[in-house]
Amino acid sequence: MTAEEIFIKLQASFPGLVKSEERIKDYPTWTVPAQSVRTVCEQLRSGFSFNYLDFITAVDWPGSVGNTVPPAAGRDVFELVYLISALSTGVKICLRCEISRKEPAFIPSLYGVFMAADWQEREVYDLFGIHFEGHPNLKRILTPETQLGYPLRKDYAHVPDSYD
Amino acid sequence: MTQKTSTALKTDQMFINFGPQHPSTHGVLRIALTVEGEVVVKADPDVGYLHRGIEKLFEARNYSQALILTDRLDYISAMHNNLAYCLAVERLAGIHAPLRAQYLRVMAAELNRIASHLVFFGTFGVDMGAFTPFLYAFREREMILDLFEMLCGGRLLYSYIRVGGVSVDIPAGWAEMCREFIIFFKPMLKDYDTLLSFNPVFRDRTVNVGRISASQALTWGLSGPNLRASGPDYDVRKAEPYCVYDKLRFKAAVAQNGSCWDRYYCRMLEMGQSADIVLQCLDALAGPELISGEIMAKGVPKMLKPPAGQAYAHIEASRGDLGFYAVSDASISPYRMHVRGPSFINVAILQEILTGCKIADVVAILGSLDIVLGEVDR
Repeated sequence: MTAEEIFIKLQASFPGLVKSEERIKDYPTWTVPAQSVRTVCEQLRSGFSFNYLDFITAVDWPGSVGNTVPPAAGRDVFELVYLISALSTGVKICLRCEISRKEPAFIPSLYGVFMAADWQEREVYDLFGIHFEGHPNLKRILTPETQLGYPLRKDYAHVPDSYD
Repeated sequence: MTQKTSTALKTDQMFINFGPQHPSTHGVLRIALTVEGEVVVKADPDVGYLHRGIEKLFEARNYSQALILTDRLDYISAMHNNLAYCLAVERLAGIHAPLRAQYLRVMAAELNRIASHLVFFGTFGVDMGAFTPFLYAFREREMILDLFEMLCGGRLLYSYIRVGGVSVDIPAGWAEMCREFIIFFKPMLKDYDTLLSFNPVFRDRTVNVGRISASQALTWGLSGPNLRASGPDYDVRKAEPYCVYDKLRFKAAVAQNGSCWDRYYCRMLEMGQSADIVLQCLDALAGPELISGEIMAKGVPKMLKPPAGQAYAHIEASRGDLGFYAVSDASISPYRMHVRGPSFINVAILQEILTGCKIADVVAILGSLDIVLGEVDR
């Protein structure tokens, strides 16, 4: 089954699912409402044999940082990017969703659907401060517990400590 | 151990810090083990001791400066990091490297795969108490490093593969030396088998130890030899051929059992396949259709400014599926660069498979996953 056919079948149950204008080259890219990302992935896994989660990551699009206005001014969102594959057919689909940058930022966790989400969601939490609802062990993974703030946010300011 | 944790444990349970300073962790990995006698009841891998914030550093450098950062991810097979990064940026900017450069890239990557698997072969033997294979492995690896030094000057961190092509063509006499090495190396694989692979003591330590089922391997997102040892035949070189892999003859090494020995042996088989690929590349490079010296795409600016957009490129690196996700805002530095490090994803499964195994097998299982902490922590 091609990505196109899967899209048409899935869109019947998830009207919020749309094709993104901006594609992740060169993969079919769909935008998913944040609250249904877990159910869409469950559907893809059970109904369309998508058995592999390639990666999860996030991109910070702040409305403004200090006096500078970034290229996506006015969006003020976190963009989450998921790439999932059906290894048997070789189809890969990229899912994007946008959530508000207002604290606290929440999105459903994929823990349990794909165990690969365990550490990758912890990484995104650690570096972006996005909370994954339903993750049983959401704590910092790469930075030390004493880390202040979330380093990969565009407005991150390093607070000098005794090692600087 | 604090008062609080010691009372939280049952009287016959013990808490052990495995690492971060321990030769068998191959770097700075800490595993917090709770053991009951000889049996592990809980394992909690703790990473981040080598975190350098490389993904943040990408955002403060231009595209050519950022290339040297990729060397420092998986420093045992730096060519693969260079290659995956360059493919992602080229996809973003719409650059196509010339065919000769593609062959040079594949050849360098496969030589580096042999070097990387030799490090695994040597150190895994040391983990299991066999010191001799280590000396064999490093003797052969040294020859590959000499070849790389002749080729690009670097022995560990190459920055050989550049956006748009490669930095230099092969020097005079290099192809013959490389061919000599492959002819010397291929029979050595049989020696390795007698030395280690079919050594009864080694097999007792690894066969049927740390078994990972196919469904476990898939849901935890394992890749590379770790995934293929459990059965799924997924090799990026076959599934989504990049560079010239669709023109080359090779088989992806697959096993079914998913134990430490299968993961080990998949890598041994891969070395033979890689040697064959290197020979095919050398033949193609000597052929008439590849113009000598045509190693860089024309019109790649010194200061690259890819149009705004997002791209993902992934390759089969020594440790698995290595991907770069790049976001450009049409400025001179990446807006965001995410590295899908296979080691980072491979090491997460430890918390599940270490539970219930004997404490002596922890080293075998960890060693068989072949992680590099530079890529885990980034």
